[in-house]
Amino acid sequence: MSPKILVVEDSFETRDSLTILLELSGYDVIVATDGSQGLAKALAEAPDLIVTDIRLPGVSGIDMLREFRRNLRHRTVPVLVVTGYSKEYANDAFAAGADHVISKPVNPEHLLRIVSNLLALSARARRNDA
Amino acid sequence: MKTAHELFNDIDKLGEQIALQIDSLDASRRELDQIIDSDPGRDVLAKISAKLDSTAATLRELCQALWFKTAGLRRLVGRGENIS
Repeated sequence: MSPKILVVEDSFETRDSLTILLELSGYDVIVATDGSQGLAKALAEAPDLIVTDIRLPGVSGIDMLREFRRNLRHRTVPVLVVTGYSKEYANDAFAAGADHVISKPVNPEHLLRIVSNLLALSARARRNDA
Repeated sequence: MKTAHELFNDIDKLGEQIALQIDSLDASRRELDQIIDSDPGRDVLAKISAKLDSTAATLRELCQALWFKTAGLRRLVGRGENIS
């Protein structure tokens, strides 16, 4: 079964193009367009990885992540933050529980390598916990 | 004539140049932010700064989408799919 990735992104162009790229790379993708929807889908759909923007309408990506990490069950789900904000926001994202933060625009191959690495690390952590 | 591979590389390089220009725009906005409070025209400068920030953010999204779509297209071409 393909790993399931939740993409939380309000920009249609970025969300649509990232979804296509991830699907063509062999992943199952579910999407959310704001932080509230992102949190609901993260809790309900049990994704293997979350890729989220910071600047989202309503609940921000940081607040969504903080809320998601409150539950111990979700501590091991890797979260990749892809942001249009400059690097000064990276510390906030890490403090909220992000595993990796990158700035837009990011080279797609670089992003896919990070996705693959985070999924591998998470799978290893789950095996060790079992 | 260029190959599809070369054209994809050209698009990647154009994207990298756009990304550098966005960084430059962001750097100018940060410089502006440093002097806004001491300037008598601070209200106007603050509006310009907000506009620069919003323009840079939009350009980042568009550049990102261009790169993702190009990478997707590269995969489809690599699989030999007909893209006409």
